[in-house]
Amino acid sequence: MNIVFLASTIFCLGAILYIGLKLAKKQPVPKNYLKLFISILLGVFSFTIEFPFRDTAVKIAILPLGVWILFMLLRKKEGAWERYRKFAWLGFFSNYLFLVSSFLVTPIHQWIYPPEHLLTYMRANDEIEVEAIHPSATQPIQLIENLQQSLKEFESETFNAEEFYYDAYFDETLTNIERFPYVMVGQLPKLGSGIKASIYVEQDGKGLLVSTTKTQYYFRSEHSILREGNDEE
Amino acid sequence: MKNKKWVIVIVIVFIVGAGIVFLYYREPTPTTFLNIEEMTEVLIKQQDITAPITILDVLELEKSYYIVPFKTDDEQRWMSHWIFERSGWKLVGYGNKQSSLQLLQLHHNDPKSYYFVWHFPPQEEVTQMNIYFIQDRNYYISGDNQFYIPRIQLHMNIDLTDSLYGVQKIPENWLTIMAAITPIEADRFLMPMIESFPSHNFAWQTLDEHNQEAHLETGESTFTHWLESVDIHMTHVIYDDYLEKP
Repeated sequence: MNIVFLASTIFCLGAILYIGLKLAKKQPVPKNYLKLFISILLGVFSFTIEFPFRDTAVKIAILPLGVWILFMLLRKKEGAWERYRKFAWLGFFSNYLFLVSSFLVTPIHQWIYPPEHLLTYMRANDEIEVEAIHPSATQPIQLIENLQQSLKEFESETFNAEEFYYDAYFDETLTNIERFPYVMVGQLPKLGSGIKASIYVEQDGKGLLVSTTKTQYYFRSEHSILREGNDEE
Repeated sequence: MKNKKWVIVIVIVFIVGAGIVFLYYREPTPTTFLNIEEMTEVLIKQQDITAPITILDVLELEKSYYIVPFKTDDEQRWMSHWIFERSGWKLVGYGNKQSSLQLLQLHHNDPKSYYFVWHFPPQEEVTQMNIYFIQDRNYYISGDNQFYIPRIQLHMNIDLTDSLYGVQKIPENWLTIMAAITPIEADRFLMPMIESFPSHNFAWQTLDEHNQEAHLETGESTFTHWLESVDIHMTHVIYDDYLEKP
């Protein structure tokens, strides 16, 4: 669950509700709140274009289809269009309110959950484990006891994906060896971040490759988080 | 008074409706599976199967899904698939696909219901098989973002000396790993190119008793005839050259 997104959605809905009620106050009695509400909902309906911008999908409402539909329905009725018009437009402009908030969500989210910070993607918990995924992995293997402390030592580093790839084929000392032969399972992200990430662990246990749906981060530390053997022995 | 009548009518309609929905959507409890005679009777009615047939085994995948390997007199090896439906046990597919390993998915969206299924003709050399879970090593760069996809290569060994047919459920840790690596597959809208990078796949290799690659001797025609749609995933043969052996 992404609490920043949740908070911004609640804020937007609250703002629309507030404006809606303000407008409703100016309405002549008797008021029909249900009809006003439906007008807002109908107004939201619009023709939108969607395009990617800085890692987010931006949706821009262009044609107020809902407003037009309402106009078609109400134009014959005396005074009805004038009464509901504002609410339909409120619905249409709420698209922009959500658009603006979506621009704010990302920076705020990154401020609370810094992307170049390992602890954003994982916190130590009882279920966390490593699984070997390649024959070059040492087995059996497990995580060290004091994991949470060690995770704090990891620092973000630049990496070259192309180099990682070609090393596996052209570096003679690395052929048939996977640089990241383990994957982390059962880890939880920082509370409320809503980030889903897969985390590969480097051969020496001192590197972590974190894949989110948008990009990858590479973290290194002085100390390994892996140790040989398992507790059952 | 009138109102009361209406209430009663609505309540009755509701109960009857709920009852119908309940009966219709209730998972039927499978009855005991068919016996040899009953199975044989259904199978020899199929156009491609010539009697007599010999039923080799009855394999239960789930309470409502059975697989029955059998052979015909011309030494063809067959697999038949059976599902329990409301009306009873039903043949959903049969085939003599002797040169392949099939990956069956019993329930949509539930990778836990993956089963590997095979039935090979008699072999001289081949005594075992390795089934592989593979993710190809890869990388791609898109603007400031770059991805390195590590190689995954896991296998399980299947002994073929006692029987050349079998069913194997996907190992638990493969499922765990599959779930752990999925986030990278998302967000197709922002990165449509990801689609051109297949993530994981399943492969298999047959071996002799000295753990050396050995080719499967297969029959001539291979096919599977499905009477109902069943989810089958691709598996492919993998050779030593494509395996990483540190």
